[in-house]
Amino acid sequence: MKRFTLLLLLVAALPLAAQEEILVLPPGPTTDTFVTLRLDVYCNPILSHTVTRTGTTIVVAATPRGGTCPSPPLPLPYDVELGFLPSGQYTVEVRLPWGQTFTESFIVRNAKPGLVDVRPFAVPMMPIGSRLRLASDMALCAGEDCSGVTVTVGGVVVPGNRLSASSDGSVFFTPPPHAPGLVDVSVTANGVTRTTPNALYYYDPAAEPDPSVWERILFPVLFNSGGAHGSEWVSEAAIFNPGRWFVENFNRIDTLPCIDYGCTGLLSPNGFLSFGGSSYVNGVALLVPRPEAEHVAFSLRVRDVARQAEGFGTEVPVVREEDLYAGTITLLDVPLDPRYRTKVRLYAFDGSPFSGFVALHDPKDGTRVTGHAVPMRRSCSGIACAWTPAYGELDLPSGSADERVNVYVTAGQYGSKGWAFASITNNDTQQVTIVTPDGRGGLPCNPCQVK
Amino acid sequence: MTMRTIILLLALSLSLFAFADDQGGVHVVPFGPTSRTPVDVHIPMICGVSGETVTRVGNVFKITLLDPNCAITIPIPYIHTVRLPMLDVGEYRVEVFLAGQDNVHGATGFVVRDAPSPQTPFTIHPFAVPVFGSDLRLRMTGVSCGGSCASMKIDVGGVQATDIEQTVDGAVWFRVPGERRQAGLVEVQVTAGDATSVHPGALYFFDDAERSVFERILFPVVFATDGANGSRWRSEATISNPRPWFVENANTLSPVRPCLTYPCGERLGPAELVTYGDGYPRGFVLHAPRPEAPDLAFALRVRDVSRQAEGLGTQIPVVREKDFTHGTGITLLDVPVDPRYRVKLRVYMIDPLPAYGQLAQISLRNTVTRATTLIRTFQLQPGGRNEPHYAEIDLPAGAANERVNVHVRMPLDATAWGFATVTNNATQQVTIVTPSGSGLQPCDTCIVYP
Repeated sequence: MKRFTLLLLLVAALPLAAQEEILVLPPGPTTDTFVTLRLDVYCNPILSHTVTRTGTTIVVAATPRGGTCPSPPLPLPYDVELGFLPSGQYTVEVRLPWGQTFTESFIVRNAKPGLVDVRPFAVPMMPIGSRLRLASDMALCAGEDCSGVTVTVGGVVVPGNRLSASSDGSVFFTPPPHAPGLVDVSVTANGVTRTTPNALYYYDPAAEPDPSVWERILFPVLFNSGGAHGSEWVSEAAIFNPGRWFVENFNRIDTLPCIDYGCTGLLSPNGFLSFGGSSYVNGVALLVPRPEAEHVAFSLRVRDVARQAEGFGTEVPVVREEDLYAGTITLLDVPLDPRYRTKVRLYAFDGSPFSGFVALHDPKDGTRVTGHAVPMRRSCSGIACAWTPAYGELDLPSGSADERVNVYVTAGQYGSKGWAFASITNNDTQQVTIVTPDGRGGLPCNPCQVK
Repeated sequence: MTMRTIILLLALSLSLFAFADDQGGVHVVPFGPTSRTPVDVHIPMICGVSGETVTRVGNVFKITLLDPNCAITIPIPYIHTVRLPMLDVGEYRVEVFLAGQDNVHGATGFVVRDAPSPQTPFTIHPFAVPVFGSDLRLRMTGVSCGGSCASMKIDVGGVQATDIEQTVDGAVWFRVPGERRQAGLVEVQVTAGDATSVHPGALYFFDDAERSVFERILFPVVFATDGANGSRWRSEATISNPRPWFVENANTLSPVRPCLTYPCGERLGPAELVTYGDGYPRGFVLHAPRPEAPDLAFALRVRDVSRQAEGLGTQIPVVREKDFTHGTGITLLDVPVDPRYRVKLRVYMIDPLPAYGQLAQISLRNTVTRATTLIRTFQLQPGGRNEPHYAEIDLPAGAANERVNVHVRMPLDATAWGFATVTNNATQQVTIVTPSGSGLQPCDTCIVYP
C-alpha cells in the first residue's frame, strides 16, 4: 500500500499544482497595486525566470531544477514580480522548458475614476435592466434635457432616449449589449469629449466569473433549522448599498422571489435588503464587483427564536476576501468546558474532496493536545461552484471544567485561502459564543530555536 | 462679526492647529507605506486651490498649493490629496505651503519600509528596536554563518553586532550593543566569508510609536466592573506571538507595569502568550510594529461572571487598522431597538486625528419604513495615554421588534470604528453589532435617479 501511495504521488506530482497553477496577487489588481504571480510549484523548484510583456500578453519562461520529483511533493511557491501594470485584460503564459504551458488571465482595473466615472464596474453582456451612472468633471444635461449629451460605450453610441438626468448632475443610462471584456466609455457635451479607457467590464453570466473582477464574500451560515433541546435557529442577513449607483452582483443568496429579468443581486442606490436564512447550511458566497464591494455593507446574525425572549442571538462575521487565510488559521482561547458543546467550522473555495486539519494546543505551554483530520466537501456544479465553499466541521471533544485550548486550523487545499470559526453553545441555555480567527502567524514555534 | 472675519479667524485657527507629528492635520495614506505602495498626502483645507507644485530636496517634499482662495461664502472643509512619486526605503518629510505665504501650512514625517521581495537579501525580526534595546536579541534569515559565526560581521548602522550565533533552523541571532542611539532607519551589512549583503532600512530604532512603523490595534473594552442587575463584567484579552522571534510593541496593555526604561513597550518572546483583563473601559490602542503585527493573534471576550453558568460571554473584535474606516463614517446594519433591550453605541477614533474638530453625527433609519428616526451630533472625547478618542451613546428604545440601521458620519478624514451592544434587560445576554463596509454614508437628498 505504501509503495502504491508513493507511486500515486509521483504520478500526481506535476510541476505546477492542478488546483491553482498561477495565482494573481493581489487577486483584484488595480493600477495602484504591485502585481505578483505566484506559481504553485509542487515538484521541481523553479530556479530562475524571464518575463516578456507585449501589450497585455505576458510570457514567463521558467527554468525549473531538473531531476525527478521528490516524494512526497511539497509546496514550493515561486513569485514572479510584474510590478505596476496599466489597466487592461492580461493573459499570462508560463512556459516550461519541456514544452508545457500554463495560462491565466486577469483584469487590472483603474484605481481611481478617470475623467468619466462609470458605475458599477461590471455589467452583463446583455444588460437588460441594468442602470449605469456616469459622472464627469463637466456639466452634462441641461436640467432634465440630455439631448446635447452623447455617451459612447465600447464604440457604441447609447441612444439619446436611454439617457436620464439625475439631480446631482450625473447621467443614468442603460448600456448597450457588448461582448465580454473591458470597454472604454466616452461622454460628449457642449462639444467637449471625455474618455476613460477600460472604464467598464462586460461579463458573461453563464461563464466562470473572473476572480479579478468579483470579490467572493462569504456568509458562513445562512439557514433556518431546528436544533438540539428544542432550539429553532434562524439566520438574519442584511446588505446595504450606500452608493449613488446600482450594484449588480453576479449571484443571489437572498430568498426574495425572482420576478424580473436576470434575477441578479441588483441593489439600488441606498438600497437595503434584509433576508432570512435558506438552505445554505454550509455557507455561501456573494460575488460582488470589486470596486463596489468595499462600500457595500453586510450583516449576519443567528438566533434561537425558541428562546428569543432571552437574547438577540449572535453576530457571525460576513467574511471578506482580505479576512481569508492562506495557511494556518488561529482561534485563541476556545473553551472545552463540558457545560458547552464546541464546533469548529471550516471553509475553503477548493474543488474535489480533501481534508482540512484541526489541531488543539495547550495555551500554557504551546504543546499539541490533539489533532483531527476533517473531511472537506462541497456539492455544486457548473458556475455555482464559484460561490459554493467546501465545508467541514468538527465537534471538539469535551475537556475538563474551565479548560481552554488554542485551535489551529488548515482549511484550504494546496495552501489556498480558507476561513474557520468556533461556536460554543451552552448546553442548558443554548447561548452561543463564537470565536473567530485572528493573526497570520500560524502555529506557535515549538520548540522555538532561540539563542 | 462679518462672515469674512469668521472665515479668516477659522482659517487662522486651522493654520495654527498642530499635532505633534501631523502639523495642520497633514498625513500620508497608507499609514504604513512601503517601497511598493503609492503614497498620498492628505491636506485638510478650507481655502480653494487651483493645483499644486511638488519639489523634492533630498527626502523633503515641498508642496505649494496654488492660487489659494479663502473668500468662500460657506467654508466647507475638504481634503486636498497629492500623490507623491514612488518612494524608496527611507525617512521622509512633507511640508505644505500656500502660494505666496512663507508659513508652513502643514507638515508630516513618515517612514517608507522595504516591501519584502525575492530580492531582499535578508530579513531581520523584529523590525522595530527600542533605542535602549541593546539586550534585545534579533533574528536574521536569508544568510548563513557557514561553518562558524566567528567570522561573520554584522554592521548595524555603523555599530558591530555581538553575540552572533546560529540556531539549527539556520537563523542567525545577534545583539546590537551600545547605549541609547538615535531613532530612525538603519542599514545593515552582513559579511560572511567573501560575500557582503546590504539591506537598507532593515531595522528601525524607535523612541516613540511612529505611525508609519507601528500599526494601531484597538482593544475596544478591557475592563472588570460590576453592572446593572448584579452583573459582574470581565474582559479576557489575549495576545499571542507564535513566531520564533521577539516582538517589541511600543506600549503595553498592562496597566500597572512600572515604566523604568523608556519607551516602556512590551516585549513578547517567541511563542509567548499573554492575557489581560482590566484597565481600559474606553478602549486601548496597542502599537505593534507593522512587519510583525500581521503574525500576532489577538482575542477579546467580555463575560458576565455572575451568570457564567448560562453562557461564555461575547467575543468583541480586536480591531486592526484595515478594519477602521478613513474619511467616511460607520455603518451598523439591522440593530434592534426593541424596548426589551438596551442598546449602547461605542465610537472610537484614532490618530491621525481630524483637523476640523471631533464632532460626529448619528442617524438611525428604520429598516422597514426607511424613515430616519433620530439625528444627533456628539463629541468624541480625547482619552488618556494609549486610549482612543471615544464616545458612547445609549440609543432610544423603539417599538417592539423595531430595527434600525445606524449611520455615523465622522469628522472629515477621521479614522474610526464603532460597535453596538444589545443587552437583554432580563437575562443580560449581550449581542454585538459590528460595522461593515467602507462607512460611506447614504445621501438621501442628493440622489434622485430617474
